Amino acid sequence: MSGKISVLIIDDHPVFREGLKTIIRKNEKFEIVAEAGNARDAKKLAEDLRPDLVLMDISLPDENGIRLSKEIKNISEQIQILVVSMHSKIEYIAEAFKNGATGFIVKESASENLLQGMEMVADGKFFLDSSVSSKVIQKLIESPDRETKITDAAYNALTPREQEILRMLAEGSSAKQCADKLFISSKTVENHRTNIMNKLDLHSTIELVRYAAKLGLIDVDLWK
Amino acid sequence: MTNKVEKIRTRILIPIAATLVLVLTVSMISVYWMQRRQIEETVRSRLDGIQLLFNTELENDAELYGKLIDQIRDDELMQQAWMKRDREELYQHSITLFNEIRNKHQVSHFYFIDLDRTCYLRVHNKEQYGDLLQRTTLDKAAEKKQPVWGIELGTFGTFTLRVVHPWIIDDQLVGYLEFGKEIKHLTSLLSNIMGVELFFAIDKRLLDREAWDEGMRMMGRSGDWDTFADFVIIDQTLEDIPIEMGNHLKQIHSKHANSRFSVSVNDKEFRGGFIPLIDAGDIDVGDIIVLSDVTSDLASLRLLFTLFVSMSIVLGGILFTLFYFYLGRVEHNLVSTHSKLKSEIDERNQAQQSLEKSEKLFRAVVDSGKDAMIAIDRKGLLFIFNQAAEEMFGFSSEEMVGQSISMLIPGNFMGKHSQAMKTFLMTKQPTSMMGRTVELSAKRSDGSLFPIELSLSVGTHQEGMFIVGTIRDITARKNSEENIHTLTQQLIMAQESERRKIALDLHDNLAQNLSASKIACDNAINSESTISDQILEKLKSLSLLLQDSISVVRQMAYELRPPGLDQLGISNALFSYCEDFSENSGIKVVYSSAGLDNLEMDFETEINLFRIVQEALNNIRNHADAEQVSVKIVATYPNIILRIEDDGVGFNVDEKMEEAIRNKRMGLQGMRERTRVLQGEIRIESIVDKGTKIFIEIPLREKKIER
Repeated sequence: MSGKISVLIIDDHPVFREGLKTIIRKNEKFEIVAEAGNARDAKKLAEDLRPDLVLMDISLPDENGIRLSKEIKNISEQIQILVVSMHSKIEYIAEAFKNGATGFIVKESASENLLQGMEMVADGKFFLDSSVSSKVIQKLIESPDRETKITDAAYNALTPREQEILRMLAEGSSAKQCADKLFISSKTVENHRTNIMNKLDLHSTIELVRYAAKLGLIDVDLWK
Repeated sequence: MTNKVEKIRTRILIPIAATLVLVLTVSMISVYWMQRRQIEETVRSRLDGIQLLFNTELENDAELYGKLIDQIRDDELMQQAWMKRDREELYQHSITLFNEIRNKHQVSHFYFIDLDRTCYLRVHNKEQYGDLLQRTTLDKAAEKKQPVWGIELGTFGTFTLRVVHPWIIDDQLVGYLEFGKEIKHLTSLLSNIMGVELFFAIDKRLLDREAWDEGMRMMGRSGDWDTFADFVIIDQTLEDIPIEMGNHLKQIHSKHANSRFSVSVNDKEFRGGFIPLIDAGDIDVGDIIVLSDVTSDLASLRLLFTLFVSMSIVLGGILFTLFYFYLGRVEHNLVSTHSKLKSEIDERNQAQQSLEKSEKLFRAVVDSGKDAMIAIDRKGLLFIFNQAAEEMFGFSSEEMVGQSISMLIPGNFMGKHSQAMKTFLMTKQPTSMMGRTVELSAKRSDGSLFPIELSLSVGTHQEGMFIVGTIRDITARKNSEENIHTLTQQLIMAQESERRKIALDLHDNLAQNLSASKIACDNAINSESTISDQILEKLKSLSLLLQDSISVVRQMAYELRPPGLDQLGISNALFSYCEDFSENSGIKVVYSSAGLDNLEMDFETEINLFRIVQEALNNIRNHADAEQVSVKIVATYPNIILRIEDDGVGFNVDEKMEEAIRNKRMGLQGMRERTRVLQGEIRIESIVDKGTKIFIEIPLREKKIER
C-alpha cells in the first residue's frame, strides 16, 4: 500500500463513473484501483484487490447495491462502503447503513460532497449527504410518537411449519385438529406449540391469539 | 240421473206392495181354505155320524124287535091260536102286547104271515088280510129260514124297518112273524142328536104317484110330487125344501156320494151332503140329505176373513206408508248425496281440467325455457327434467325422472351436496344456497364437467317439500370471463412491465445520464482551467437545470415504479409507501409486517401486493373519510396474508362493485384481478359508518432466479 486510499467504483453507468473519477482525481489521497459495472465483477474485484473504500451504486443490473454492500463487508470488514445512489429515500439510507455502508451520497450532489464523504468514510466515520440528512433528522424527530411500523423480528425466527401451526391455533383449532390437517402427530404439534410460545415469548393461548391478531394472522372484529 | 234416483221409491214400493198383496192374498186364501176344510170336516163327520147313528138305531131296533118276536114265537097261547088258525083269538092274544110294544117301542106293524107269504093277520089292522106280501125281507127270511131285518120302501112312499122271523114250532116252520116300524121317527132323532136338518129323498121310479099321494093323504102329510123331477122328499125336518138339492140328486147316488153343496134357507147357511139309502134288497132307493148348519161357522169365517182383510189392509197401509216415507227420506238423501257427488265430480273434473291445462302450460313453459330446469323431491329424486336439461346434460327425461340427482354432480362436490341434502331433509330448512344464484360445476352424461349457474328454490306440495333448480350453462360466459381475466391480467402485467421499463429507463439511464452530465458540468466549473466568467455562469445555471431535471425524472420514476421494491423488498417498499401516503393525505397509517424479511418473493407477487395496497389506500383517501388505516402483511407458510382496514364511512360492496364495473373504474376490480393473478383470495367487507376490511391471502411464490 502506498499510503493512498484505494478506491473501487461500482456503477453500471460508464459516463457517471468517468464523472466520479474526474472528481476523485482532484484529491491525491485517493487512488482508483478498479471500477465495476455489475455486482459479480465488483465482488471479484473486492475479493482480489481488497480496496479501502468502495463507491457503491444501489441500482445494478444483477443485484442491488445494498445486498452487495453486505457481501463486500462479509469479504472484509476493513472495506468501507460509501453509497452513491440516485435514490434519496430514507428507507434506502437506512437499509444501506444496516447492511454495512457508512456513508450515503445522492448522485446529483456528488460534485459537492463526494470528496468530503470519501474522506470521512475512509477515516472510519459516518457520512450523510446534506441533501438527505434533513429527512433523516425529521424522521428521527417524528418517530417517537409515530409507531407506524410494527415489525416483530421474533416472528422471522419461526419455521414455516411453526407459522402454519401458529395460525391454526390462533384460529381456534385444537392440537388434534392441527395434527389431522397436517398429517403429523398431536405430540409433534404440541412440541411446535411450545417452541412457538418460547420463540415469541408468549405464555398463554390468549396471548397467542392477541399476538396473531396484532400481526393480522387472524381477524379480530373491532367493529362489533 | 236425478229422475232415476227419484223413481227409486216407486221402484221399490211397487214390488213391496205387490209382495204384500201376494202374501196377504195367499194367507187369506190359506186361512179361508183351512177354515173351509174345517167346516167340510165338520160336515163330513156329521154325515158319518148320521150314517153310523142311523145304522146303529136300525140295528138296535132290529135286535130289540127280534127279542120281542122271539117272546111271541115262544108264547104257547099264541102258538095254540096260530095252530088253531083262529084269527080272532090270535088277535086277542097279540093286541095287548102290540099296544104295549107300540107305545114302548114304536112298533107300528105286526104281521102274522103264512108260509105262502100271504098275510094272515095284521094286528095293527085286523080287517085287512089274505093279501100276498111281496117284500124282500120276507123273501130272504123264507129263503134262509133265518131272521132277517132291513128297511123297505112302502107303497106309499114310506120307509119301514122290517124284522122278519121264521116261526118254527116243534121244528116245523109254520109261518113268519114280522114287526115293522116306520123309520120316520129316526129323522127327528137324528136331526136332534146331530144338530142337522134331514131330508129323505126317494127315487121316483120306485114309487107310484097315486099310491104315494094316497099314502100322504092317509098319513096326513103334505108332499109335493113335482118338487123335483126324479125324486120326492118323503120326510124332512125343514119345512122349506132347498131347490138346489135337486141338481145333485139328479145324478145316480154313486156319483154324488161325496159331493157337497151349499144352500141357504131362512137366512141360515147350510152345507149339504148325501147318505145313500140302501133297502133290504140292497137297492139304492134314494138319499138322506143332510144339511149341516154352518151359519155360525161361515159367519165366524167371514168375520175372521173380514178381520184378516181389514187388518191386512191396515197393516199393509201402515207398512206401505212407513215404507213410503222412509223411502222418501232415503230418496231425498240419495238425491241430495247424488247432487252433492255430482257437483263434487263436476268440481273435480273442472279442477282436473284446469290442472291439466296448467300442467300443459307448465310443461310448455318448462320446456320452452333455455335454462335447464330440474326438480327433486324430498328423497332427492328427480321428477322434473326439462328439454333444456336433456340437451345440457345429455340424459333423457325418461332416464332421469325417478333417479338420484347425484348423476349430475361432479365427484368432488358430492360430499358437500349430500351434506346439504341431509341437512335439508332433516331440518326441512332450506340451506344457505336457497334463493341464491351460485356458480358450480356439473357433470354431463359423458362425464365431462362444465360450469353452471344454479338457482335453487323450495316449494311445497302434498307430498312434502321439493327443490327446483334452474341451471344455466355458463361455459361460454366462463370462457369469455376467463378471457377477460387473462386479458386483464396480461394488461396488468404488460402495464407493470412497461412501467418498470420506463421507470428503469428514466431512473437508471436518463437520470444517471443527467447525473453524469451534472457531474461533468460541475467538474468543468470546478476545474482550474481558465474559463470566462460568462461561461462559468452558464455552466452553473446548467448544473442547476440538470439538478431539477434529475429530481423530476426521479419523481417520475418513483411514481411509475414503487421505489425500493427491487432493492429494499416488499416490506420496506410498502412501509415507505405508507409513510409517504400518511404524509401526503394526513391519514394515520399503522403498518405492520411479519415474516417477510427473509423471504424472496417473485416480482409478480411483490408488485401486485404493492399495487393492491396502493389502490386500497388511494380509495381510502378518495372515498373513505378515514382517520386511521391499518396495513398488515404477514407470511404464514405457505401463504401471505394482507389486511387493509380503515375506520371510514364504509360502503355497500356489491353496489360498489357494480358501479365500478359500470363506470369502468378499475379500483376494486383491479384489486380482484391482481389477486386473481396471484391465485389468491380476496374478501372485501364493509359496514357503513364503521369502515372497510380488505382481506387478501395469496400463496407465497419465491423468486425463481438464484443468485
